[in-house]
Amino acid sequence: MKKKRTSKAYFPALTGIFGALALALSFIERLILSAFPLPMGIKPGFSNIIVMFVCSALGPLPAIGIAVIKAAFAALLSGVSAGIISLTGGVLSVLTMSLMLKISKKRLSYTGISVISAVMHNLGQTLAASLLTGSSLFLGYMPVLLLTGAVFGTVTGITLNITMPYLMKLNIFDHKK
Amino acid sequence: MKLKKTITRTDLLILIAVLITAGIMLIITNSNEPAIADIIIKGETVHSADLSSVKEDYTLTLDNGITVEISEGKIKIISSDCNGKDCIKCGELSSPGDMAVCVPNFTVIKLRGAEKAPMDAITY
Repeated sequence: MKKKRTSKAYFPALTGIFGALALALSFIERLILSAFPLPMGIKPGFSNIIVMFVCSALGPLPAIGIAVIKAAFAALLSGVSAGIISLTGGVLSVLTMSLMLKISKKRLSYTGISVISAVMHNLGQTLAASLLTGSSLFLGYMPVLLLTGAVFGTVTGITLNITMPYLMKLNIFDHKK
Repeated sequence: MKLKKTITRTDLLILIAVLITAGIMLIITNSNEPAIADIIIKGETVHSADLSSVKEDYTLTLDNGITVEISEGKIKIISSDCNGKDCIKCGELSSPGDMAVCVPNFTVIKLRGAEKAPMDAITY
């Protein structure tokens, strides 16, 4: 028999655990980027694998929680403006992915949803950067943010498609049964 | 789980659509005309340089500590006191549409075509 998890601490605790995992991935990404720098400050966004997994397994609210944790981490490491940019991109991408997870049914796999939310993530970041600098950056960044969204969104999506069946077997997700 | 396939046909369609849009944007924004560089801080242009008419290289230090190097046909940010240094990673800018951004210092360097107003090139 499986225990029922009714504790109020269930979602905050899992959000914390996965938030820590997302930060660990961000850190590894920083290490990789310092060895192999990408132009224009492009980042692969590996921690979005965690965000998307949480959004799909636990729902949008814990995923937004992780976006906030990531933004706080960015603000601590790279300054307030980096935090604002991270938060705008993160929240917009979580909203997009939870909407897509609801409406896509079987037509889309994680790959498609991930590409769309990666592009929205980048658009959100560009929006924040445009507001902060006071001049529109969309035109100049559009090709880059679409391309990186497509490439790294696909990487995130395929990773999730492969790992999701195994992760869902974990004992911690009993609440869905 | 509902979603099982690694990649569906709709996934591929979305991916192709995004890539095609990126390609079109790349073609639209890319040109080899001579460029004018605008240095914009908080939405205000503080310096404009016609890159084709630069004879001698010079550096320019802005009030916020960003140093820019301007040479014939090229401009780049060479130093900044921000944390990320993403603005320096933008590298050398040489054709209209190129951009270097330093958000912590609210600074943008944008290149536009010398002949036309920047918007004419992308009207559709």
